[in-house]
Amino acid sequence: MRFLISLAWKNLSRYRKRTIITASAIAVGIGIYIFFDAWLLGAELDSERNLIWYETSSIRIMDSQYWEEQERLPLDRVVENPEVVIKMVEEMNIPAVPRIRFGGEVIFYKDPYEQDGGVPVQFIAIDPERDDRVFPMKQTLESGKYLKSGKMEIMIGSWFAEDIGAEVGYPLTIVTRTRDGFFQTIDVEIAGIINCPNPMINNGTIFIPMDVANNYLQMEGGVTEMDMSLPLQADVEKTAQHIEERLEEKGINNLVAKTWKDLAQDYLAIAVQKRAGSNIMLLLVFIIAAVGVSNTMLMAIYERVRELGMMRALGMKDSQIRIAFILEAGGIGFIGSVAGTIFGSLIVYLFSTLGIDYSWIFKNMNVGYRLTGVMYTVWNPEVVITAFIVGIVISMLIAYIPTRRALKMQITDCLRNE
Amino acid sequence: MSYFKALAYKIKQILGGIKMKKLFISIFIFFSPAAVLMGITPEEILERMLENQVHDTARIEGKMIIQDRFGKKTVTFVSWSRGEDNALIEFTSKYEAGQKILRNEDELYLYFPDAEEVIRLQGAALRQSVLGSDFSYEDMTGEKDLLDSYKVTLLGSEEVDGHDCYKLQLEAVSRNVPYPREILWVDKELFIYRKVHKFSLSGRLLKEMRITRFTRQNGKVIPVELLMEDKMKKNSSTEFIIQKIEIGIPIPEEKFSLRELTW
Amino acid sequence: MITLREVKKNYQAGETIVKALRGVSLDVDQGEFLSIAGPSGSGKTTLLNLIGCIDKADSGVIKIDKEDVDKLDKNELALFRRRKLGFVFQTFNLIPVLTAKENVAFALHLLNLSKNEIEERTMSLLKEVGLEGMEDRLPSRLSGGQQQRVAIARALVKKPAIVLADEPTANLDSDTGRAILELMEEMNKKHTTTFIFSTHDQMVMEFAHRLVQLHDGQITKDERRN
Repeated sequence: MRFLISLAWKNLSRYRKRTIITASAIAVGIGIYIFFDAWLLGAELDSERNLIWYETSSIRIMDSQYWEEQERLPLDRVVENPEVVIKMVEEMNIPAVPRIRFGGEVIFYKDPYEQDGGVPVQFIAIDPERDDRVFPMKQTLESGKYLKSGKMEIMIGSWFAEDIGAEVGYPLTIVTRTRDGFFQTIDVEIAGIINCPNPMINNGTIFIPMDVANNYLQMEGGVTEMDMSLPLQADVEKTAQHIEERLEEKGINNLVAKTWKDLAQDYLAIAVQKRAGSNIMLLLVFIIAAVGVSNTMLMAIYERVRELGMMRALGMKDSQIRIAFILEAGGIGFIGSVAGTIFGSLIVYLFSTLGIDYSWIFKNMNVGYRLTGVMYTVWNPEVVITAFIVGIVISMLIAYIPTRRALKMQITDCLRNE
Repeated sequence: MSYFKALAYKIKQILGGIKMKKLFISIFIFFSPAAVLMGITPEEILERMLENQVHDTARIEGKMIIQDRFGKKTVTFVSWSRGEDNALIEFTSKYEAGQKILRNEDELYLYFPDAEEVIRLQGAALRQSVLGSDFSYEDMTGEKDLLDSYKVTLLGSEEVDGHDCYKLQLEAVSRNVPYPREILWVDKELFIYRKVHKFSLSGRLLKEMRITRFTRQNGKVIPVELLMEDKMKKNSSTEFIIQKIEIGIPIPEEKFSLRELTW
Repeated sequence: MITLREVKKNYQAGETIVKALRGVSLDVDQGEFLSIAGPSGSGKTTLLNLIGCIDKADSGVIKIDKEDVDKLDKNELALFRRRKLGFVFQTFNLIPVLTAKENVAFALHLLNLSKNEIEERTMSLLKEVGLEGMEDRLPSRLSGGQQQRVAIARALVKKPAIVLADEPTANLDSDTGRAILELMEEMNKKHTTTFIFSTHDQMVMEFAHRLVQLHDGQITKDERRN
């Protein structure tokens, strides 16, 4: 067996150019696959973090009816005693904060704005003293100040500010409805502009102090949700279930605890789709390897028909000849896999530090991923190993067919071959 | 002078077949010397105004000219109504052709011919605007509740477009109405509103509605041109124009059925 | 040790059937130095191929070293060739990526011998054929004659019962050819290996100790010399 391996390896150098070209094609395919996967993984990990840190939190408690109707942002399905629930959750060592979510419009006028306008927005009322226990938004403040209780001011995302031409200190009028349904207007000033890595927040969400919202919306202390923070890789389903059980024990039966996965169905759906795209890429790599190697091996075999005949005459069994050629093909695959793995790894390393700036895409399209600017690749050793092995295995499997065809020839015909 | 007009009006009302409650109140007021001496109550003003707007049966052909910062859009329609509770509106302009709105008391249904779909609007969904105009579906279902939902105060008199008007303040007592406060200027002679102001809870003027033209039919004074302006946004208004109105015509029961909607 | 009885072989050449061998019978003893001669198309290569077990007869009996080779299957034939038969080709057929030594050793690797034994026998045979010092050269750096010597060494290194050579000097000049024939004769004497070669070259025929002539698929002459 060892001598077959040695023979196969020596034969690779016979058609150096061809071997290099085929191996290069495999290398490029594998390299691109590794990079693409690392890029996707980076996007996923970043998105998840941005989703949890700025949008959904790890777990959210709300009224069960609210969950059913959340699309319309109802204010009549509230949690009446948020502090009781928050206290209970904090006893479980989980930080929790209340929020009120409501919809409406912001109206602005020429001077100081460039033109008049009105834009539908989502508002979130936060407790400025507590909110950063769960949402680290304070750190994303780009200009101006963070919110303060009691003040008639708001924070807006930088993309939104850019869209309407707003700056710190500019006025805005909020038109919305109270808990009972009365029309309400709130005149506010922009206190701060945040540049949040989550585009959903940067684009269409406005933050307002909780006490102002409570007053103007006649919430009477009720809130629409309580958000909780857990470590990023925590088992959120289990904890959510645990929370619901504790709520039931306390006799609170109308509330549900939803995980970030429940809240971000749109993101999860896209992530799955993109993963499928990645698998298709892998398939393409297979095909490149298969076609390249198959062609090279076919040519190699038909150029060595007489040699094949000689080896058979010398008493080499067909199976041994087959193994020799499969090893040769495997050798091409090996070279391609090594080169591809190195190539792919280098690109991954490069972009894991540099990143690629995609902000122009995220600003104008909702691609589902929660990213605003730079995308970084992330190492995925599992994928690298898989790609490496696949390159070799596919090459070896593919060599089987042309070998079979050649071995069907009669020995005498082989020997007669020019 | 106004006394005789009021008398004539009352007789026509009785002949027109109005509800007993209103009839009774009206007669009482008419024959009550105290009321005649003291002047009219704010509730009565409102009542009489509403009577002009509510018909036993009516068929209307009209249009809405909707203006916003992107431009102007004209929508035409035909509508049938019965009393305060039933109405069927069918849009006849090019892009909206075949779309219908059906109202039966508190239920509101939309019909879209392209999708052959009937949608029931409830709750917060009624807050949506009708075809992008300044009127919402809520506005269509709410008016009749004015007397139940609001406390009415007479603030005095004021002239609007050269007409002497009662100035009424409406403050919400029910929590089911969109505007917590409204001010109405009701023409003292004709009992139609000349102007309405609608306010947000914090007192900001949100909408202004003016009647710019009216007609008379069957002893009623009927507004036929309305302008609704969004006071929060510049260049946002809706003109509501009745081109043809027929009151008291026979309308079959089935006109306001769901089946009729999909026809 | 080789017995052929009424061996027939036909080929399909397009629409026609070519009768390459029309019932050939032959006996060859151990250690013979035999030439099969005839013009082209006489069937000599076919006969050689059948004895070499790289082709199968349509009918007849072929016994080699008491083995009924016409009854063996593909794999059994391969094993038989591996142990008992050596080949020398007109075009040398060395593996270009292997050195002279590796080409010779190739035959022994198939027999699963130990590394030491392979080394010993290879070097010994290369010395015998006069290629000592050139064992690490690739075929591209050997002359035609040297390559054929390597081929002979390869054929003999496994101590076969028979060596079959198809036109072994056809690609060599007359001097080199003569030298090769002398080498083969020497090997035949030394190892008592049966040598059978096919040829249409007069000089080669003169070397043979026994001459079997074929014409149109039949033996026309079987002459022993010396």
